Amino acid sequence: MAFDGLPKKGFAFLVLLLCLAQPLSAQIEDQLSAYTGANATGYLQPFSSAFGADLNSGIFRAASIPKMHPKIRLEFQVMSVIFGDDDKTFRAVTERGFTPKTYANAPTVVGSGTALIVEGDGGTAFAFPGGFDLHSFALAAPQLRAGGLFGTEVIFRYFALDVGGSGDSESSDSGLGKISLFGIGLKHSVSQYLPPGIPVDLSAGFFWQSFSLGENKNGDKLISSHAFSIGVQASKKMAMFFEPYTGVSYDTNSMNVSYESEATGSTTSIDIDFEKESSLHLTLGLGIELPVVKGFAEYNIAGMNSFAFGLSFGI
Amino acid sequence: MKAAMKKTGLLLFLVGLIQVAGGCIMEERVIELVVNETTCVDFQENHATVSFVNPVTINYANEIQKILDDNGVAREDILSARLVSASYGVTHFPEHVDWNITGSITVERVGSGDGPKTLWDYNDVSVSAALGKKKSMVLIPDGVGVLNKALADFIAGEIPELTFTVDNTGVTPSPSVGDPIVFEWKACIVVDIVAKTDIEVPDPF
Repeated sequence: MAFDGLPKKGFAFLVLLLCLAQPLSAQIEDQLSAYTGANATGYLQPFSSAFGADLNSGIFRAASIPKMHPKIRLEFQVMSVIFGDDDKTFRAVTERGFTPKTYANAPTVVGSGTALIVEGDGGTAFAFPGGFDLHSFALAAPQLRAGGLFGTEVIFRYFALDVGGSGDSESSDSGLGKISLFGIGLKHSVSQYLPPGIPVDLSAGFFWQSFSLGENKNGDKLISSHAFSIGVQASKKMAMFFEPYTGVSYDTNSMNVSYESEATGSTTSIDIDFEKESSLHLTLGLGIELPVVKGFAEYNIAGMNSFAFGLSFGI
Repeated sequence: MKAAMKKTGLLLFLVGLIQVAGGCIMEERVIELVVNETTCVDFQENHATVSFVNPVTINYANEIQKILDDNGVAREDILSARLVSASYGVTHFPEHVDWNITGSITVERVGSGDGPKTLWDYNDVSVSAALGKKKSMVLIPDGVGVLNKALADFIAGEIPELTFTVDNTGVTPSPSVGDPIVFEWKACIVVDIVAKTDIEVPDPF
């Protein structure tokens, strides 16, 4: 009974975290409107990688799965990346008929907030928009883990919120569109097929996710992202409550951005599909298993390093 | 009553939690965005001589203000505005053998004595080849200076009006009263406006 209120509070916190990304998505479209094609891709690339890294964190955790014992947990977690200096600029090129064609290290979406101006022929100048000067990018996700049937557990992530309106200029302060997350995957105990005496629990699993954020001026999704992870995990229960774990997985993620640009002199719909990124992913983490509440914290070494932590409630 | 008090307490706790967490997670940023502005001037030509002058005046302040309003940017937030490029294209050309034209486009600030200065010299330009096209102008610093000064004065609160003038000096083949040179074209200038905006961004770590 003492824990009755905690899931509600945790949920409120998650709603808060997810909603906070919305003002960012609204402003991103304004910043992007100065760019077309290659510049837009370079500008947003750290964001694409961060989305993938965040989404593919905090999924599998410890490898122990009861063979025939009910297990159901409601989990709340935060996943985040910390951006490095390399993420702050990209090799941009002038647009809009500017001469001479000039390359420059311009701010990415997470880079300096100051615009970069380059001088051209006859007193002309070209301006690259500033970024948002971000140190980190975090996502939060509620997750349901249920299993204990033939050593298998199913994992769900789901969240949907309609903040209302679309991202057009008249309603951008109050109508920021929709945010949604859906993920599903399985984890299966490998230990049950192995002879006794192996000192660690082993499991294998996969997880697929779809995430979308914001609306563009046409009412379409501004940012949509998909991620997939497949891997194996190992963990060892120690000292009653502690369960250190590790995992190796193969991750992929892709992102699409759809927005309106006025960089060509007329309003043009720009649709950018980022190249699918794939990477090997090593997880090092620690789970704490108390009777009703459990916690975890992990660090992920992958294409973009990330960390995750959270609480879960259940049996 | 006790249950209602408990729920109210929980609600207040959640509101407090959200406010505290929001304060920790959100960071204030001043970021510089770039607004693109393209202004076009239409010229209608119908002349029987090789030399002709065709001025068109626009209220440049209105053009810029409109694009600022569309993007929710206040004039006070503008940090700089500069000309990026200029282009031309023929929008209407009745069926006829091609004309090649030579001359210049000048720009002048109405009522300020600033200009006229040459923005672009064109030499033996094919009218038919520019039909439906967007061709780059090679800009001349004198004319660019008039435009950039008008932009700076707009930021300072003035309302600049500009006159763009076609000053044509040659046409091949020569037009006549019976065979006048008739076409419509437009000149477009592209401006980058850098403005600052305050935003709260989620940056929790």
